[in-house]
Amino acid sequence: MRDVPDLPLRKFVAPEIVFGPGARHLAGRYARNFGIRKVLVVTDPGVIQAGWAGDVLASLEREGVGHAVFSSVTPNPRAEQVAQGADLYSKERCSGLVAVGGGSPMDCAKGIGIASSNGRPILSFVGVDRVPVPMPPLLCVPTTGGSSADVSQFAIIADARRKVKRAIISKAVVPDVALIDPETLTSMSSYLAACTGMDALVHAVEAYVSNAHSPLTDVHALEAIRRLSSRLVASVEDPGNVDLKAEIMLGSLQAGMAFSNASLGAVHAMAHSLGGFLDLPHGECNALLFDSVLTFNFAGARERYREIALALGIRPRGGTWASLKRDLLAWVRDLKKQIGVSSTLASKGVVRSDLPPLARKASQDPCIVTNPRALSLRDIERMYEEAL
Amino acid sequence: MKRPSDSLLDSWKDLQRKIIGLGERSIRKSYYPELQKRLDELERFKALLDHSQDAIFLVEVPSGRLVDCNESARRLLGTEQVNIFETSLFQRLDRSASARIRKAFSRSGRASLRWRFLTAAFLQSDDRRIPVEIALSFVQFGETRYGVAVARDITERVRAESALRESEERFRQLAENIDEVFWISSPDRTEIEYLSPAFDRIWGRPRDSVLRGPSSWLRTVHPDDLPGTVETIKTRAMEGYDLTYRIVRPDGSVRWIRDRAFPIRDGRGRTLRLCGVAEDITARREAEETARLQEQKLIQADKMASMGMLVSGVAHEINNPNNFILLNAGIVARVWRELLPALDDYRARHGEFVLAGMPYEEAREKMGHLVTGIVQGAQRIQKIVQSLTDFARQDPGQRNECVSMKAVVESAASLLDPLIRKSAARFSLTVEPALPPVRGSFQQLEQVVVNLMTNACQALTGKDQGIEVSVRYLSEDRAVVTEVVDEGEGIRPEDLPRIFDPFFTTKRSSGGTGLGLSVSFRIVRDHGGTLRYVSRPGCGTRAILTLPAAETNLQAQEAAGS
Repeated sequence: MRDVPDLPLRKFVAPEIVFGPGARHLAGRYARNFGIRKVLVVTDPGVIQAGWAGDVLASLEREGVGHAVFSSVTPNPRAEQVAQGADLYSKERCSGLVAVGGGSPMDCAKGIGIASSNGRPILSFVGVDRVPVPMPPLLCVPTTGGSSADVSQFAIIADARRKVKRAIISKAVVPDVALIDPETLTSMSSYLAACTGMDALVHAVEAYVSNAHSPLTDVHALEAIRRLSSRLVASVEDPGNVDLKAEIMLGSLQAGMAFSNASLGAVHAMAHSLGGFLDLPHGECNALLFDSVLTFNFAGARERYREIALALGIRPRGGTWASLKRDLLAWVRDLKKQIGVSSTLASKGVVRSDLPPLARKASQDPCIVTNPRALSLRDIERMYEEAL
Repeated sequence: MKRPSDSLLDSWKDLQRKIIGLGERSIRKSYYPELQKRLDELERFKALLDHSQDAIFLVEVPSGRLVDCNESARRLLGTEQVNIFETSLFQRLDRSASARIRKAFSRSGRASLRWRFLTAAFLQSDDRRIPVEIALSFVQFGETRYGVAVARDITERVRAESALRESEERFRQLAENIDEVFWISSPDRTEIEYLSPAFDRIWGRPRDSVLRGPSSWLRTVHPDDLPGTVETIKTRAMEGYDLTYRIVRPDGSVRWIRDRAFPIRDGRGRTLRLCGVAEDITARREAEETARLQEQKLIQADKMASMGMLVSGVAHEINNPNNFILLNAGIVARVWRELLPALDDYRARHGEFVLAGMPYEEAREKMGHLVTGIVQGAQRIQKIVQSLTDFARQDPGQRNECVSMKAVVESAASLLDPLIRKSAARFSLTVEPALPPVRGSFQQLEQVVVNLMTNACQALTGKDQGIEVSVRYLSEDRAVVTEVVDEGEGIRPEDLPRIFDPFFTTKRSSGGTGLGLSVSFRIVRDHGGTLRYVSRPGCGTRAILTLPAAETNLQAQEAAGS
């Protein structure tokens, strides 16, 4: 099925990016240059404890920018938290946002931003390109290597009532500035580093095989795969190594730029569904589903998977597509084992009867539409079965 | 191969385009469209402010420096092209208003939506003073506090208010100074809204007593008039009415009230309220009563006039035959006297004989008396007829002489000298030296004084009782007063009101006709004077004759000159 021309219409949007050690200290300067009178700093208790939020607040104070802090953000931010944050934002008469932390504070900050500028509840923007008014200036200081929310057009918000994560996809939620500071990764646990690393790698792979990929995204996706695959294990094993962290951070950034513009595929669609159901870390969900989706998708983008294999440093042993697929799967399972995220859905408490609703929710996730291989509800269900 | 999810795939194609960022409104995050929208809103808002009649100033606190203003404010500041942002609001307001605003500036906390209001005179660049009403509040932008002053030109209102005050004052002056009670009430007249101060005087009670409770004024209405009054108000209030009723004042006195009500209607003809005027018509009603009595008197006088004519006719008819009787009775008496020697001779010759049924001897004795009786009776008839003629005289007579009352009184005294000598133990006559004359008829006035003196003489019953006559001038009344005072028996109180009635007399037995005082009263009245009697039985009687002094030439000149 090649119903798209070789060079179809594509677009590439990325924020202003500052990458490098100490980038977090620029938050105050950027806030001041944006003319922000008072900033709402969105973060979480872990990040505050690690000291990164303090660094950002100090830089704001240095530049004379007022601030309020919203830190009641849990992993997988919920619509209610967004509403609380938006209340605080208007009560404190803020005019800009700084997100400090992983995907959860950043997505929450995006939610607060559009809810405030549009004056509507956050879940009314769920879907693609449904944000009419852009949010106030948003500066992101990511402290994990995986989510790439600091550069992406995605905001994932949990609808706790319906137990599902809803994706808001719009160029309007791409942050204005990403201050990517590798030093912040040193505070991550090995497990978190493994999950976020895995998340970044899956971003890169799904963006590369996405049916919306473009030469502009391919460059970043392949480079991300190359960079992440060669350093992920070492990075998990040596959490204090800033150089390694910088590489992972860079890889994550490149994966982010790729998937923000090419979007993702079935792994993320299914992971969003699963994450809403189990409240598991997003990266771990990705890891759980990665190989079964790869098994299914391989037939839809065999040439692209071969490029991925080459980027991973796999020397194809046989000449056949089947052997390439086997090698790829083996490499993935080996990586998961090495970094300690090789559990199964069953071990997380998922039973067979949970699968049909999980599959139905996954089929409604926008990420599914850029999956390289067309699939049915049954296909999705089968992939969940494989991952049990 | 047709798969069940193919339709799903079709809808995904569109979604995929949007994810790539090729959707309708997908654009790299930009604040410009929103900024443009806000700018448009600002422009619109500025237009809104500029089109406001009110002048709106944004003022720095506490300096009062103008920071921003709308078009109306520029107009209010004046037409000259000075940089308004270098001026202070305080320079353009009168001193007292400036002081109050400065005070508000020093007191104001942070931003507040509470408005303070004051009126002020706004000084224009050409020194004209515009009366304005200023609403003041405060806003906070960042660290700076501003005052928002909204000034409204109230020239027209001030003018209207002053006109209204003047009109109200005029109404008040009118309502509070007229003798009538002006009132305003609810259409059913249960609630009195206004009552003018004349009420206190006429009703003899404070207005508050009536303003307090509904219908409480009804309690002042005389019980006899209450049912009719209530009925009229109930049935006629909507078209207005004209009522007359009595009220009872707290002291028990009764006043007559004429109360007229006029309905005040709105454009649709509904009665909004009643207006009314209540006046005290007691005096008028009394005057009407007097007039009614006067009319009765006039009718009486008319009757008397008719009788006068009758009397003149009758008098003439009686006088003629009576004159024959008087004339002939004299002749008869002479004839009898001259016959007597012949008749005596006849008796001497022929003896006793009978005349008219009686022996001559007896007839000779009585005949003289009989004839004298005829003469006296005829004279009496003549006297009564003369009095009747006097009483009924239609002709007012010649009354334009200047008469000296001194002469009148002296003449009357000399005429009555024999009677006075016979009746009174003492008689005195006192006349004030500088006495102005009166205008009238000497003869008629003399008749009056003779009558008064005769009455006085006849009233005396004892040897030691006297009569005093005095004439004096009362300058304040411009009147000449003649008093005849006797120490006689006096007049009984029940007789006093009737002494001027014709034919009333207590002396009929002694020949009184009862016409003397009636005639005198009429003469005095025709002279513009009064005649009064004051008397107590046993203590004598005082007759007081008052006549207006005639205007002498000198007095007439004085009157003309003043």
